Amino acid sequence: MSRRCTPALLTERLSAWWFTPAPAARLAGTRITHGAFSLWYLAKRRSMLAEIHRSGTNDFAPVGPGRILSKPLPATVADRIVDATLVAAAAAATGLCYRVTGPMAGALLTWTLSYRNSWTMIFHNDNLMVLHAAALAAGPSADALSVDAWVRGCRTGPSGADARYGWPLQLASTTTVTTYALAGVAKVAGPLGWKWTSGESLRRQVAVDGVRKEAFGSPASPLAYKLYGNVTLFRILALGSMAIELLGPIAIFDRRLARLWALAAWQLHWGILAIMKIKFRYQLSGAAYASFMDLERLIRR
Amino acid sequence: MTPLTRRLAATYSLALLGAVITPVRQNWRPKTRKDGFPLSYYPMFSARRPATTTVYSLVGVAADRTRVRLPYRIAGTGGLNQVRRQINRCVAEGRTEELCQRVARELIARNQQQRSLFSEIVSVDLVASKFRLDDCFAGDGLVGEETVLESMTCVDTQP
Repeated sequence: MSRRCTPALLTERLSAWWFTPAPAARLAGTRITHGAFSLWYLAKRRSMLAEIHRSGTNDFAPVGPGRILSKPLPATVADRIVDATLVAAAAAATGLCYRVTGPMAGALLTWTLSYRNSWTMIFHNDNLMVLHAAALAAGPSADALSVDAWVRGCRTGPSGADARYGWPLQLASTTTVTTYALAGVAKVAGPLGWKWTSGESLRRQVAVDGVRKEAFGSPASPLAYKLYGNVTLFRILALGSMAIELLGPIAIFDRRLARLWALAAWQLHWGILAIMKIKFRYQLSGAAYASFMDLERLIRR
Repeated sequence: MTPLTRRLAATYSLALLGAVITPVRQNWRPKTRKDGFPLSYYPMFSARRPATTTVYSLVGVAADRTRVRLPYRIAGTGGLNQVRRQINRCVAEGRTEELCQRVARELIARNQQQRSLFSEIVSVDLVASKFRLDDCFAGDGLVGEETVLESMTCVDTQP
């Protein structure tokens, strides 16, 4: 039997790809980007979260780790957990005692955002932020560009690339493409199947979203009105978004292709913002795709 | 990396990716599909959308019977879609009176603080509005058939 098609060879190749060496600064750059975004995102919502914590038990529908609760936490306890998450996220972003603060920030972010999503509405833009925290916290993400590295007297971290800095990035990127693929599968497995790509459902989705906004006194995007009649355009948009969602797991195996995919996914979210005024903030900021980029090049400049 | 750390990294990676993929099973459950967080099957935009849609929303009524659509912020916090879902849940669970009372109280409080744009409003209606999407987006704007589900006065009776 030829060696070409043995499972052992496949495992070997997958392993070589998964443990592709990367410089410490690339992983550190992703940690800083993720940490800075998480910090900004939570700090901006601190008062809104405090309001949600006081919104009563009727709308409490716990998700994720929050399911251990049968009723909401006392509001002040929930508030303090948000504050602890902010502190841990700041420490993780700066790489201070990262071995402790990295996993702690990841765990607290998971709790805080799960609790935030436990009031009848799941915000799907939060998922990746939490999953990326889990990927980054598992690796030596603060070996460069961190307080820890500065204390050790090696600000830029060890020279050269190493597999230990590569795999957390692969994990973050693979998680990203997987979530998009799941969204694509949900559409194909949904009531419309592949007919979803006809664009009609997307067109109506845009309209339904616009009507809901208008019914609550928030104007829909002017672009939604302008484009609504253009069925062909919606077909192209539906095909494009389906391609982005389903092709990610293939693109991930080639670094250049993966970067192109990340660019396309980023554009997809800007398109959603323009037509539907829906903000996937983590994706729009570009922070969600940091693990695809050679961030060390920016830092070197 | 030592063989042990490689193995640990591979195990952790497989566990996380496995957990991320697991919710895909929800797609093949006949009726009881359940979304979660942070592990989701990402059902957004996948539902079949008919040519009409019904929205439960709040309308303020002035003394001269003028009707104003109330912004979601008066009914709750956390964003438009979260508040909309909470209103849907109130309707489904028959808590419409409680919702209107809460909104009326909020309007009275805002009027007392003199920061309300809705000082003319004397009552709050919870309405079910049925919209034809083509009419709204290619025609005359937001015009639908409206049914009042609950109505509540919101005049401050305190001296």
